[in-house]
Amino acid sequence: MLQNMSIRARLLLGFGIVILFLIIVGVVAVLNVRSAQTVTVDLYTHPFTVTNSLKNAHTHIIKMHRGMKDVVLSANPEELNTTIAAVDDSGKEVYSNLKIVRERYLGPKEDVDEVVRELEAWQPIQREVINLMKTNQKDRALSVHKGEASNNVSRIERKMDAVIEFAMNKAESFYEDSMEIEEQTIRLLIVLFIAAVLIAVTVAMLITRSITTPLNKAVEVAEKLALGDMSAEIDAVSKDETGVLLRSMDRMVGSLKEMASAADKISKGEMIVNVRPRSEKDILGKSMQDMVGYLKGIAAIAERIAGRDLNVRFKPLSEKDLLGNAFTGMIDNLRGMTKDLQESVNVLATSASEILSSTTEVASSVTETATSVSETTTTVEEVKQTAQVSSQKAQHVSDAAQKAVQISHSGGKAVDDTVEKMDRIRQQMESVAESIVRLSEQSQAIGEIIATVNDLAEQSNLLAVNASIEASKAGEHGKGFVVVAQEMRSLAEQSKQATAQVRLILNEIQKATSAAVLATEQGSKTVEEGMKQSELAGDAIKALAASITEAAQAATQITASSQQQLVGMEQVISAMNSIRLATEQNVAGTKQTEGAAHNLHELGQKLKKLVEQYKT
Amino acid sequence: MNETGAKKPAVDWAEVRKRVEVTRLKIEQGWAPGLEERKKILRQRAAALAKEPERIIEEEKIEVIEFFLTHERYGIESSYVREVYPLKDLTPVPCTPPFVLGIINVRGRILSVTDLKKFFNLPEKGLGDLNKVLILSSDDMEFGILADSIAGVRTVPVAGLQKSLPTLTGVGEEYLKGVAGDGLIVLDAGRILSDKAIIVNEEV
Repeated sequence: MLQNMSIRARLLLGFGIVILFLIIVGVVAVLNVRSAQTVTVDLYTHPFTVTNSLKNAHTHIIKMHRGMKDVVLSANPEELNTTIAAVDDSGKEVYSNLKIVRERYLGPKEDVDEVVRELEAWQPIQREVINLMKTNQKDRALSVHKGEASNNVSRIERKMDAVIEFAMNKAESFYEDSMEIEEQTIRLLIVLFIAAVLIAVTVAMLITRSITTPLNKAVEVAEKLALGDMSAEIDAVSKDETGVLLRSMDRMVGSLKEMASAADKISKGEMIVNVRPRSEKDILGKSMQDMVGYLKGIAAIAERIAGRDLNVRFKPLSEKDLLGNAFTGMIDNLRGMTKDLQESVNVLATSASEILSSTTEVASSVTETATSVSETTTTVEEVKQTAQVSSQKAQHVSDAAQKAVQISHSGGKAVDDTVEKMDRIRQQMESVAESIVRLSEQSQAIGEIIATVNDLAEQSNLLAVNASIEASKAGEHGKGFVVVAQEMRSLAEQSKQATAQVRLILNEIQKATSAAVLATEQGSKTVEEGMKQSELAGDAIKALAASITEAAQAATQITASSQQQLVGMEQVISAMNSIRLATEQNVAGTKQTEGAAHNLHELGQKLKKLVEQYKT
Repeated sequence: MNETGAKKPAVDWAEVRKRVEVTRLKIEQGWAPGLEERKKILRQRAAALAKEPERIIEEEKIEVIEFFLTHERYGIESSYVREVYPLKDLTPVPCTPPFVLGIINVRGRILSVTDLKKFFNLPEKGLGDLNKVLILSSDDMEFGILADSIAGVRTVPVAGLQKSLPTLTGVGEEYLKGVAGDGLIVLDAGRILSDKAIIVNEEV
């Protein structure tokens, strides 16, 4: 039933139910509040008024009793009269209050009547007291007042207390009544509230479910479609808006399935599909139609290419037409390739014929090679004999080299001795040089002594002159002394000459010493050079010894190599024999190659014919 | 080594040793002349003494000290020469004529030294030793003159002295006594000593 209602009607119904319950709860609450109010008013009007009136009456009774006491105690008649008037006023108040009590009192009226009766019983007593006072019988009045009047008043008070008690009890019962009504009201309201909430929740859930279930289904289908799944089944029963939506989706899925099957066929290469657009605005349908047309065009061209016709032209739809551009490129490339292929096949055919002629030549040259190989084998035999001779010679060389090694060792020792001797010579030369230098220094000392002697001679000369002067001054007696003086002078002269000669000789000695020093120095240098030369010679002889040792080793190696060479020559001979055999096989092989080249040539011719079938 | 030995005769070390030994012996003997040498000297002396002495001609002679002054020989009468002395510790004296070289100390006496070349205005020719001083003295004058070397004492005959020579230049005739036959220029010491020009008295 719910499904057949529109969503608007459903929402209205739901909210209506909730509002109805709200109204019910409100009305009940108002009614109960009203009854509670009534009880409260009763509580106020009855016990409160009754007790108030009773209390007032009681107060006035007490005032009357006190007035009567004043009456008894009054001193003069004026005072008496005023007091009596006050008592009368109070009596009136008491009656009016008791009257109200009687009207409102809910208990038995007899209780109030008893109070009234007691009041009436008190009045004659009052009158008696007043009369007694008026007749100046104060003592009797006092006794009456204290006896009968007091008893009467206490009786009245007892009766009134009973009435007040009853009224108070009545008030309590009212209070309990009102409490009960309140409890009932709360209980009723709670029940109603829970019922309203339950109903509202149920209605809300029902309505929500009736809307969301079809919507969820629609969402599920849409999700599947978004993922490209066309298998979604939609069965719409309801007549509301969701039903309409689901039915539209069903139609959409159907149309998409049709398109998908068409596309599937195209993907399998079937071009015999007919796609009709569903409306003017069916872009997908139109595109499918165009695509099928486009593919059919391409297929037709491909068929022509398959039929070896490369002269077809295809115009791409746009610059972004990948397939069209690729197809055009492919056709162009195929055309170019076929041309290249034709040229290549031509080259291949020519090459094959050239190979054929070359192979024929090779066959003849292989035969010649075979002859050469037999000649080489003979030559190798001769070489082997030569190798034997060279092996013997190498042995001789090795022996000679060993002897040379021994001789070079003794030469090295001799050179070492020479170096040692040369060193000793050098030391002796150094001591000689030192002696010569000492000699030179001593001759210098001699020179100094000679200088002194020369000086002495000079002085002697002067002395001699002075002596002769003195002698001549002495006259005849000094003549003999003149001769002595002259003799002294001549001696001095001789000394001078002798010193001059010594000086000359010393010069000669000095020159000779310098020459000797020079000679010694040169000798020393020569000895050092000799030492260096000897060391060089020693090094040379050692190097020579090393070289000779190497030579000896080399000679030994040569001997060993010659032996190996001999063995190698044997191997070469056997290898040459193998080569000869191989060459014979080569001759046979070359003849086979010749046949193959002939076949290749024929194949080239065939290929040429095949390629020429392509129209370019 | 053998080849070099063949080319050049090896040093005869025995001979060398012998020569060195001889030299050593000679040196050890000292400078005393040998027996032969001594005899030779004695013979020479005997010959010299046996020579007949020159005849003494009675003529007037003067004794002169002969000395050299830049290649020229001069003589001066020995009676005026007190002594000859080696030139030592010459002290130059300022504010003196060029011919006064300076002063020397001879055994406590201070004497002036005169250069005759400058005094006679002779040309300065070549270098001399100039290491001897002849001390001239008279009664009232005493000074030294410079000489290269002293040749000795000789006697010159007064008759042989020639009065001046046309070749002689420089030395004034007033200082010249005469020129001997062998070219010895004899100076008149008495004149030189008494010449006023040689007295220096200058006040500054």
